[in-house]
Amino acid sequence: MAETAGKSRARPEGAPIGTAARPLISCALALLVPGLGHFSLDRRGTGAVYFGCIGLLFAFGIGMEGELFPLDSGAPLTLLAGLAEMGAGGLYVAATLLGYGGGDPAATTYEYGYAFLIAAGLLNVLVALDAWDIATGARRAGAGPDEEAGPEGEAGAQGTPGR
Amino acid sequence: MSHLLALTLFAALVSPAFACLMRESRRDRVRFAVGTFLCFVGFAFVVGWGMTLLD
Repeated sequence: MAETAGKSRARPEGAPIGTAARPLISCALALLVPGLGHFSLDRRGTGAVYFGCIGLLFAFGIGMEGELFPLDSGAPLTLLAGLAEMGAGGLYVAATLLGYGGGDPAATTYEYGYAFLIAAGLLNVLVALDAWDIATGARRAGAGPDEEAGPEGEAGAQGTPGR
Repeated sequence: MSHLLALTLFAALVSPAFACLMRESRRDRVRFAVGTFLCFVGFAFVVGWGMTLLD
């Protein structure tokens, strides 16, 4: 009896382990650290570009006295800005825990700062969705010349747009 | 920090990310990133000049 139950739950021969969870894991990694999702999908060059661009956007935003807005349901625009900034994921949490992002409305670069922070958050959400698409196969897994092409990635390496 | 410097910095950081999202090959990405960057900065100049004419 127990042997029969074990056989029914057995993984089909040749099926890759953890395929179903791969999109979720890639997406979660991308939200945790910008570019990490692509890094886990063997798109290391792309991941490095995302990490550099989003990380610098966020760092400049903090450096320009930008504010990490609270989730205040009484002020809809502030709520939206806060949600957008939370898209930076791990960067947002780290900055909050370290006491950065208080913002200084009197600073001349205050508006620039929170614009950078909002852009970093929204861009990271796009990057996480892109990692999801690649992991599910919705986007062609083509890779540039600097990256390893996946098994179905030959067409993408020829420069055709993925979408 | 001047407006132009902030805009240029923003464009320089956002353009490569958009290029990686929208294009696959390295050559296409570089072209897309350069084009997006130039559009950001160029439109800022065009709109800026337009605003001076309205003044």
